[in-house]
Amino acid sequence: MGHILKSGIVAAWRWFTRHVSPAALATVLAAGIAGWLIFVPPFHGLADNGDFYRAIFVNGLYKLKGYHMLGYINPQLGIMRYFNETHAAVFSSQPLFVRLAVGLNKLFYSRTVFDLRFMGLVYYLPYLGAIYLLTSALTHPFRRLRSYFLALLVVFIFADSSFTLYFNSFFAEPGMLVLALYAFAAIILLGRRPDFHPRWMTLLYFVSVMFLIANKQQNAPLALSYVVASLGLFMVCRHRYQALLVVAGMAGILVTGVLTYTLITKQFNDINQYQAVTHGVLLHTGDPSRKLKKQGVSEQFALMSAQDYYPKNFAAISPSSDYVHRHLNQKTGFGWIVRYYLNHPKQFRTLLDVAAGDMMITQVKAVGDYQAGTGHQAGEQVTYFTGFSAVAGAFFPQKFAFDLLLAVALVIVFGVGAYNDWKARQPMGVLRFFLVVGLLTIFIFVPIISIIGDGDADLAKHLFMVPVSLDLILLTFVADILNHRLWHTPTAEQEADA
Amino acid sequence: MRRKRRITLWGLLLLLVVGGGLASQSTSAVAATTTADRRVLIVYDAINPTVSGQKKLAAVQRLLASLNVKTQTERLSDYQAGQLTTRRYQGVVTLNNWEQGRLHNTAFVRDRNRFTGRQLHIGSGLSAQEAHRLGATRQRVYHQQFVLHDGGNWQLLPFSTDLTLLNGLSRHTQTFGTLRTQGAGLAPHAYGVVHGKSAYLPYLTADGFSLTVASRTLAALFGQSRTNCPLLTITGVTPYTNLARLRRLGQRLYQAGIPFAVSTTSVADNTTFRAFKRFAQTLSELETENGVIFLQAPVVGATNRQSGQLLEQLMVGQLNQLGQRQVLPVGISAPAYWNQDRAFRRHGLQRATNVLLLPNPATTTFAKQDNLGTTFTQTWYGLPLRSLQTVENGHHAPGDLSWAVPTALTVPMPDSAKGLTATFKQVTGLTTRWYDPSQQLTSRLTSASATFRYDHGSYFLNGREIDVGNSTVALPRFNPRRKNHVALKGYFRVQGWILWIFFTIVLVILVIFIILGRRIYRRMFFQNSKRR
Repeated sequence: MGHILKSGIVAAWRWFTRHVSPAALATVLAAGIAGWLIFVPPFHGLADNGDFYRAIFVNGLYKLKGYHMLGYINPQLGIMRYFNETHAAVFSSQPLFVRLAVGLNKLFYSRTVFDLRFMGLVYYLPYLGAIYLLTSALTHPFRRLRSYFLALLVVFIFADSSFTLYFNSFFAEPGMLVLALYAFAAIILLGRRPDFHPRWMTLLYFVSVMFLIANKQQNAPLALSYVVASLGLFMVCRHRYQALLVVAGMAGILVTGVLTYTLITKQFNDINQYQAVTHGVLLHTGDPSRKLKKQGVSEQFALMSAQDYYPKNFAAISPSSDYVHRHLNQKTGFGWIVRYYLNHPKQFRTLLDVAAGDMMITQVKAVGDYQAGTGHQAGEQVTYFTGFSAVAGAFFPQKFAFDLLLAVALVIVFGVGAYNDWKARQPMGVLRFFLVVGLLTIFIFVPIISIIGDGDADLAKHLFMVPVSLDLILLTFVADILNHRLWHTPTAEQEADA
Repeated sequence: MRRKRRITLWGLLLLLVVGGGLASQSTSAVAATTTADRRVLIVYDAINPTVSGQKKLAAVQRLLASLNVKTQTERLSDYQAGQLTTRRYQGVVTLNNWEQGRLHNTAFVRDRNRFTGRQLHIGSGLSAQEAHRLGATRQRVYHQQFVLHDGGNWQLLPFSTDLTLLNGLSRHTQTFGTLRTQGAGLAPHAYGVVHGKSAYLPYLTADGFSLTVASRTLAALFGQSRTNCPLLTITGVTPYTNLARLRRLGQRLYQAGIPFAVSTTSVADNTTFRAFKRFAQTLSELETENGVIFLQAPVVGATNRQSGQLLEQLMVGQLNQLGQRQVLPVGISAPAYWNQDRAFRRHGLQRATNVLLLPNPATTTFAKQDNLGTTFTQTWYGLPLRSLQTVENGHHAPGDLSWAVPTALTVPMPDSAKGLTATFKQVTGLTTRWYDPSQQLTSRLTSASATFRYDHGSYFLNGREIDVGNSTVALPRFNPRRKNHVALKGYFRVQGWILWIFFTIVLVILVIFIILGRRIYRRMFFQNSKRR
């Protein structure tokens, strides 16, 4: 009896593995979990934190009467029917997504009312493709129990509601998530499955990275990280012209980064520069009066500690006034701030620890997730399928020193794999090493740049790429341990034996 | 029969009692509305930004507040028939900003014609009926450059395209100022005209010489004849101002014997910083140099339902922090629109007996706008000194002007040493008698736990006289920092160190293993090759 049962289970498992690949399983699960959250009424999303106007008006949408800020999401917006006179406040690839959503909405739903779910749909479909490719990249060519475990892990991490809630919003982050997943999956697939549409994968990689960098101003420094990550591609080039193509791709990434950086508007610069001082230099330091004076700025500005550029209620002076611009902003440029932190390393460490404490908290707690009139309080947070973000947010150590150690440890571990593969003339280990190093530079340098560039204001959102990068690295780590590929890449025969 | 009579008697008695009660109620209501409590209704046609209509409206509101007249402001299109009655309002001001708009509200015109209270018309569109009330006839003049003369002073006015002036004024009509053209074509006309309970101003500006003449016109209409001295006020001071320069300006004014006021914002946070101590010290130094402090209302960033409460906390916090350091403001200064907002009035302005209303900033953010301007014991009209620069009287800079309302002549805080000298010159160049708070001012200001009083040069805190610059004041510390007790905080602090140590150990072991493994691996290789 037991024997029959056992053989029955085995047969069922065999049938399952033959018909359902781990990638398919992950995709279906993610589709269900995220789909319920963002499409089934009353659907969820992220409420307006005050930044949405940048994406709304430029793309021909407008706020309907009774538009909610912060507390509740707005399920519908109006579509402008007349000439739109607003111009983009920022250079970004985000409008492409929003325009597409508006187009689909006009085609299938209405020409006057915009349903937020079309925004979700525009991210949702590519996102599922990314999940498929990612799982496939991590599990190929196996269909073992552990492969399915990996598929579940991918779902657990990347179908977390803290990520998918972003889809129903006008934030730029969902685009960044999807593009980062594509870039990662494409480059791993290039190394691991050289026969799997290598040209398309290369194209996918470079296009994703460029769009990712152009998606938001603060992504400009990521260009350097992705150039490092791209170095491994030389390992899979077989011809000189392929190497040239990779060089061209890397140049493209750099150019995108520079363009994104130079096209940051003056207004944004002012905001960031102001908050880099009030939310960085003047924080966690006791009385900063003398320190300011020492570096040539009126010590009175110490009183601006923790002030926002757009005051939430009242302020002693308008931060956008001429006086502040002349006596504070013009004196405290990037170089000034770097010099300040060099002189006060302890304060900088404290700020980095603040960043380290924030980086794994991916759920945007400042805005509500529900619609008004659904019986939920303003600003209430979704708890559905937030297991990973909740655990990671609570238990990931909140010390930047730990992050540094972790980075060193990971570099050593993947370095060993790279060294062994280099000896064995296997490209994968080296490719993976550069990818991991590239992502680790995001993990380490983005918090530093954020602190110098904008202080601790909006920190959780500025650090969005950090948890994404770290999650990808850790996934690779677990997957390679489970597939016995961590220390070296086995040959096809060895894998068949294992 | 007797029973019936008794019932009627009782009934009569009851009727008397009830009726008497009602009557006494209604008389008290009438009594309430006959006092100065009755508002003046300001009706404007449009905010026409091309002629700074917003500024003009605010100027009217401020002038009336300074004349101790409460106001209610209504847009012409929002005016409801029957609203304007003599019982409800003591006066009405018609402010026309947009001649070309030809906005009309027949109900308003009808009600205004029936209205027997005080009437003032400002700007274009003076009706025949209104002119008749003024006992005059209308004359429209186009494309003229006028000079406004008054009491030996004059100021050249901006080019005017279209103005309605009055002719044939009767002998009982009071006039203020004379408009003359430079050419000979047009006879001189009166600027401000008051005839009985009616008044007329062909145009209004929010500052300059015209405003001083207009304020006298309004004062005459409301039967006030007090003359005032202007109070020199330095505006735009913040905790971020160059304090050394502010101190120097104070010293120079003190040496020149000019009493002054400083309108400054403050902060309620970070008050333990050295920067705040310096700021408060500077202000208290100014107090010893015949200067008084007006606490300026903060810049409004954004508002919500809690704004009133937040403002209350902020103001109380600021006042107590200043009070602890011997800075005792004599009043509150704020942009004019604060007086048109219920929350700002209640939590900001009404704690003071002396309120200085300044011109509005470019953007006005309201919390609970109600357009019901109130009055204070003394309401100062903030008038930029710069706008009087071009007033002349033939010999030198502007001579002694007469001020019908409490006026604060404002100079912005200079932002350079050069600016300081220029400001000082500008102030001393004005031959006027300045208002001296130490001789003329009494004021009272309350924050939650403290009462600041100023009485002819003496400062009192909660009834106790304060010798500014000598004694230290012990005021209960406001808003001590609440410490947040976070569960597991200790754990997280230790956790970091544990992980540090753990990872270091793991790293060391890892490196050792790698070296060992490598050695074993190579040895294996050597042994194999030896065997072969």
